Amino acid sequence: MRKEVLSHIQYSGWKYFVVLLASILFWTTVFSALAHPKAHEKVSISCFVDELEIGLINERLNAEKESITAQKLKVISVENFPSGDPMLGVLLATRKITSDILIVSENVLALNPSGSAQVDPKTFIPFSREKLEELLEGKVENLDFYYVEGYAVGIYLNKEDGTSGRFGDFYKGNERCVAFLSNESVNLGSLYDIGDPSNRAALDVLVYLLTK
Amino acid sequence: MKQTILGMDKDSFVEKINFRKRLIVSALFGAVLLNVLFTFLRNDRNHGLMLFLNIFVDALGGWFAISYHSFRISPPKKLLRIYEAKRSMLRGKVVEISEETYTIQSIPCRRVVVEGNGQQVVFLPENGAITLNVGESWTFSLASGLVVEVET
Repeated sequence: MRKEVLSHIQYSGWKYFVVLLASILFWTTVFSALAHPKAHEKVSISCFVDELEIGLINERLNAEKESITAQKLKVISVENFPSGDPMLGVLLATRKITSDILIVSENVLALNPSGSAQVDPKTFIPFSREKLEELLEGKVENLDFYYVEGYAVGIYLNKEDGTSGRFGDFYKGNERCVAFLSNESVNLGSLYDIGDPSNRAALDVLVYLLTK
Repeated sequence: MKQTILGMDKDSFVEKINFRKRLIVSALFGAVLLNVLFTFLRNDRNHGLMLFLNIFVDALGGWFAISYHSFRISPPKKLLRIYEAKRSMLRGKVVEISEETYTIQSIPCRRVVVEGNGQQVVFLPENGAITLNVGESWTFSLASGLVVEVET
């Protein structure tokens, strides 16, 4: 019997190894997908801003996420890309940026010498000022809206005189930066009539950045 | 007296193999059910434990299937295959049975020397149900030199 077992291991040992490996690979993939936070468990912010301390903002937001918002979040993810990245326009046009908040420095929105803006501000969907102010419950004074053709589509994170809320702790440049809100976000307290009105973590993050 | 390598009639032997196959399928189905259970029980706290349990259950199920097939299904299937093969007959007295095992057509066998019309060597499948002793006279049914059936 011992001889049979040894011979079996010699000729079929690889099958046991393959089964183990396949099992590990399969379940690691499945469980990674399952562990991926759902839309209402994650606030994502994409930035196209130079001189933004991305490590610090990520660290601070995640360390304080329980005090920032009552919504149960697994993670607040902030990604930064160079402001001159020509892919931004393409990404926006093809709706590849699915973050809750998009922060863009004003020079990205301005016309370049060839006469075309890197990003057409009309790409962004207007929202109701009144509804946003109601959702923010007066936590932010003197909201400075970014308008396109008379419609509010974004909010300035810093003022013309250079002063700002906590955003200034992370941003060392002198451009004005605008936060655009995604009309597909489920974390904006139904600002765009989507998602659960009680899920407002993205707005809470915005409040955090706008206030001291 | 008659002995066959199957040790029972062919239909019962086939049913025995089929039962063993069903046992493997049941074990694998059980593993899948456990996988579903562990996946449903998964949450942020027990993520690692449930991942380990799923891998463990699948590996164990797979290993069981491989080893059970190799030791409990494949050998009887080989016996059945030679049982169904074309046979030749030989009458003689067993004069020697080797202690050593030989592998003939992937089947472990004992070498048996038979004295009939001169000496002849046949091979007796080790995991078959035929018992031979030195000095006994039998009529052997052989398939490619392997003893399939013996009759006094």
